[in-house]
Amino acid sequence: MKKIILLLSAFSFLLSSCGPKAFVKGEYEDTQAENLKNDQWSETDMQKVVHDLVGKMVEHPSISKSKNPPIVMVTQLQNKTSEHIDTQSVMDMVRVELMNTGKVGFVDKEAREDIKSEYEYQGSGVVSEETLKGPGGQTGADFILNGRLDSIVQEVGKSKSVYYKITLNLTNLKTGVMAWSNHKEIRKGFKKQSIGL
Amino acid sequence: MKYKLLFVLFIFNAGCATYQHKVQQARSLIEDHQFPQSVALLEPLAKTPSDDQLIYLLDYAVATQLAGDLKESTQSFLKADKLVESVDYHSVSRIGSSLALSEEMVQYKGDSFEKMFINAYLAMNFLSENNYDAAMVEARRINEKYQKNRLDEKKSFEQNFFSIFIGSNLGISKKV
Repeated sequence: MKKIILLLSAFSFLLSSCGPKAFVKGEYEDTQAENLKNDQWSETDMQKVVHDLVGKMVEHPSISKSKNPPIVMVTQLQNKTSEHIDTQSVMDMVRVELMNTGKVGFVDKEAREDIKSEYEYQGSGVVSEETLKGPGGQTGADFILNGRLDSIVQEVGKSKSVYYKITLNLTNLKTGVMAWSNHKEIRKGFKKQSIGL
Repeated sequence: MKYKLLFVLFIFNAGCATYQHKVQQARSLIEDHQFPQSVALLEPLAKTPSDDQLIYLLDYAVATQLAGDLKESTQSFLKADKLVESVDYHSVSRIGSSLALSEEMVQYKGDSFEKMFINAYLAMNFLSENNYDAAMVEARRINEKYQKNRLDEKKSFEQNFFSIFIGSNLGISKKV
């Protein structure tokens, strides 16, 4: 009996000595493959919601029936979840996917300071007349695109469900009327192991 | 027989290098308001993977907050919050070893009220940096943990009312 206890103790000790190790052997993975490694917001969630909402947005008459591609300014996606999510990255993906459809154009709010400073530089006389750009030639945006990301997390015992809702709004700058609004929902279920090695 | 006894004594002595012993000096330094010195003592403990890393991380994160290094404090609390999730299971091998050798073989998992403190301290850090949106994320995390504790029928002392107070005030101030 003593021997069994000693053997079990030695075995447990050996197993428990297997502490955390660094990740050393990697491989490239398909960026479009589903990632459900943990219960956090993942790139798969971002890809799913962006792809779905962009598809719906470009089908709306404000864009699909427009004679010229409307000019859109992408602003903020509010984070109302319980995770620190980079919402700028989500809106970047929305902008890129929309731009890839070729049905809309964009003005970059973030670049305004740089543009202003470049006008000042070019206007200082260092640039040739033929290539000189200055204030007054920019195209004004037709729409503002913003949104909100919400989540509901429910956790009981070892079960957890995470629900996300991302809502995007397209507002006409001239009239102030919301031309389009839609949302995409995602719900993920998880089970936690209570006992392991 | 003598050697066996010595071996057992050695193993038990190894187990006595406990958490309390390791942080005693750092705590005294905090009491004396010598925060940077305390941070220097706690840093190697907090950044070395071990079974008790969680508790050292919490001490280190609080010490760095007191020392005014909010960025490092926030990073440490965020790491602690992730660690809480990853060690939230019962390891058969570690429990077995702890029975035979030392209590320290079991990973420290944190008490319910400590887990809520993480988010309250994070909220305070974010507020100090005028990052209201990030502070609100922590307020929502506090609420989620509170709801889970409630559903798991935790005792009232296990609920962290200081954290709930911080989270509620953040929510109220948003509406004003």
